Amino acid sequence: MSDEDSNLYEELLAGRVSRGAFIRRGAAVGLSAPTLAAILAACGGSSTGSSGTNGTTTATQVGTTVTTPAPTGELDQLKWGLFYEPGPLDWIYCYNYEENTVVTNITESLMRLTPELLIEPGLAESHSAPDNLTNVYTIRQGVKFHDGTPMTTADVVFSMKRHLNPASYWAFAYFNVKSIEQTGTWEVTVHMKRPDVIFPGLMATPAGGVGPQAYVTAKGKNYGTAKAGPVGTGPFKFTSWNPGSNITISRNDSYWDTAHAPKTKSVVFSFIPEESTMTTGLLSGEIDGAYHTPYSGLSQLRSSSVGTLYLGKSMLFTVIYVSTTTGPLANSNVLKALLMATDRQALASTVYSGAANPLPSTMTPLDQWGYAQSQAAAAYHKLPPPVLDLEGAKKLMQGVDTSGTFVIATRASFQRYINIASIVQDAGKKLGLNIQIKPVNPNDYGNLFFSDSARKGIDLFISENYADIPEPLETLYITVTPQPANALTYNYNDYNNPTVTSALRKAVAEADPSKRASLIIAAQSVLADQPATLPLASPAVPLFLNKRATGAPASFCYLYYPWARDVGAP
Amino acid sequence: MGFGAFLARRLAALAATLLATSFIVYGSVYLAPGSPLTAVTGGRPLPPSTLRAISHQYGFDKPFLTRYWDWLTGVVHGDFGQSVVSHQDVSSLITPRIGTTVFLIVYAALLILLFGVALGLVSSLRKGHTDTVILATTSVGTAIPSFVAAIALIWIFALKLGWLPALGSGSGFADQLRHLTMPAVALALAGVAYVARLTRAAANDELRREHVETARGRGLPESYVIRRHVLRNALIPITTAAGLTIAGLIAGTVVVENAFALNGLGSFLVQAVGQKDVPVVQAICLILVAAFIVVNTVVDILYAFIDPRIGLGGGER
Repeated sequence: MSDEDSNLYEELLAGRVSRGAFIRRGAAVGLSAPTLAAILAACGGSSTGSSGTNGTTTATQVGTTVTTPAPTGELDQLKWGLFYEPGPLDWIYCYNYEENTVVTNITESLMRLTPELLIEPGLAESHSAPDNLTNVYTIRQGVKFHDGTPMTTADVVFSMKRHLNPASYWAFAYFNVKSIEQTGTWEVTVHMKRPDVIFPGLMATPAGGVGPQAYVTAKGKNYGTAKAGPVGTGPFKFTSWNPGSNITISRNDSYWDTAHAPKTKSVVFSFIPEESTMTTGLLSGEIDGAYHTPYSGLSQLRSSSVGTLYLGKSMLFTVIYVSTTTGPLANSNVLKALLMATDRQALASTVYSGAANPLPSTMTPLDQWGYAQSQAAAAYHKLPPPVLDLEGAKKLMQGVDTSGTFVIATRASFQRYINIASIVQDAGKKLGLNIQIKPVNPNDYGNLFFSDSARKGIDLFISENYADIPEPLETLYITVTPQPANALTYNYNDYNNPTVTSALRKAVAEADPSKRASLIIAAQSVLADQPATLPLASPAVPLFLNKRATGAPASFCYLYYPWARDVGAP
Repeated sequence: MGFGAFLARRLAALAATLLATSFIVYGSVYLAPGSPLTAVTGGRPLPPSTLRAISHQYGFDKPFLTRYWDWLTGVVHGDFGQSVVSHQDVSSLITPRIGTTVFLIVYAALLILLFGVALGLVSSLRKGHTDTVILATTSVGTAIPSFVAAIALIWIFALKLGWLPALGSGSGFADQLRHLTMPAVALALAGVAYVARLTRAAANDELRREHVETARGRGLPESYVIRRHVLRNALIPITTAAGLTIAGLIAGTVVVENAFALNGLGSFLVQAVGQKDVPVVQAICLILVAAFIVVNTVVDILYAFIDPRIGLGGGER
């Protein structure tokens, strides 16, 4: 591509030109029709029909890319960058970005998240729910673990039962599970204590991971560490782990899913914690690619000639949790006003270097909807748009006692959060709210999510959170309804609106997607009027790929989809 | 004092320092807010039941002194504990990283000794332009922090010229040498400048001394005078400066290892502190303190060799 072509291409990726304008301008600069089609296909998005956001792509929408151009040849070695050295690669402890990025290629789950962010069968051939308290899984036959042993139904039951131990990071997925039994040669039945439509989706995450019972038991607490690498059924098998340097996985030549046989012989994951070092490594070609490349280096990566930056479809959302139950911030009108006065468009374009969409008044971006998408999209576009409305906000603040100071916590030395906090502080100032920014050391910051005492004296805190599965209920339900003492929750301000609670409780038990969507949408519209949190933006997944590699899915699926199997030489 | 008694005294001091250090480090990491559990989930919450189960597994629910005692008795038996984050024995995590850090420090120390002393001597012996240029360059050099040097070096040699790798430690001696050249230069830069300036000053001092004038007056060859009378006497301040600088490199590795994504102890320490991974922080701090003390002891021994009037242990004449 010439310079002008590649500029145009980047603009398309960044969402600055619409697909129509791209075709017109592309034709004008002399790109052939097949080239245009190939680029558009590579960008994924609405024309593929599989992204599920038909008709919702506006001129400012970024992060619609699903895949990258398909490879034509084999690759000997792919050098991949990780932001930190993963903890143990035992699937029950894989609950964070880089652990999942690696283990998803080794240990597969009953279900699978696709690049389009939908759920499809994985090691289970099929899933059915004869009633809302029963989930039946038919296990795939003829699948072998990397150690050569065949995968049996007993392995599946053993693997699922490991999460009944509360020490599993995914134990929360099994909160409503009563029993897990083998009910046929190739059948596993999960009985629930109460209806839970989120559970089947979570089987696409490591909560549904399957490992060999004999090997996992024999290795005990060493399983998944450098001493006894993980063994699964995936397209890659664990080869080596040099603590502090890298992890190598290599192609599984007897991978069961022959239609997706891996095209890369080995993948070497290097650990690069410094943002600038990661960007340099990608620019110098020492690293072939990385997911979630630093937003701080996006402009450099965008203009680089060594590879391409993609902004992938994601389930990420940036939100400010409210952790006070008294004063003006406990008043939903004040939260609504604060949101209206917060320049979410500026936030998306500056804080995220344009790699995010401003969110209307909802915590669940459209890409979290794996079903009832047109219904969800219609409702989404009726929500108050993310535009600055200072006059409206001031009206809402009339008669509100704004005395006192309020504290927003940011992770110390984390520039993105500091910038977000300043934008919110600025919005507060215009409404007469005195918001102070409090930098909290990174460890203590994580603790805000864990303990009541850590949140003492803090009224607002920022989070870049994500849904694991395309089910808006997954994060919404536990954020805006009261939860039992031992359950996972993000409800830090004891939000309890009777209409929302009742609609979402019904939704969690509603198997019919369309009816479930109606219930969630009803709750969503109440939440837009009486917010529980301050939803700000939905960041895209930045993926950088060197010219020598292609095919990696660009979307958020890289956490729970064996993405490396799709990578090869261009 | 005899060499044996000197060593015994030093060893006892080392053990006492390590014990005190271990308690202080353990205490400060314990008192620092946060929990290692937040690191393993990247800040996403876990339900209370899971938090309790993991806390119990790692003994976080035990009182401070009990935990410290458990750790100390483990160390006495050669068990440094297990990393909370990676579930592995601390010794197996640290061993592969020591090599990189030692290589980096030795490489940087050699650069400092070689270039620092050479530049200083040249500067002192060649007055005029050479001296001015070296003086100006070293003035700038002492003011450049290693992370700035790292960024500049990476930009020039990795991105623009493509001569040297920007990250990683390499494997095998030649490859390691290539990978660690930029980090060692970044680490050594300020030290080279400092030692060069000190060497210049010390040599200038000696050159003005009467015994040097006398030696020259007696017609001894210039090279002999420099070696025997100037350098020999200037070595004491040079050794002191170089020793302190090299001991200081141990702390400097933290910054440089991070900037170049090296698998050394320094970057591991930063990571472990961030994750509140107490057993790892403890073990690395103890190694760094021990190394610092050992380097200083070596400098003390060197004094005695350079100038026999100085007894072992420093200051006893």
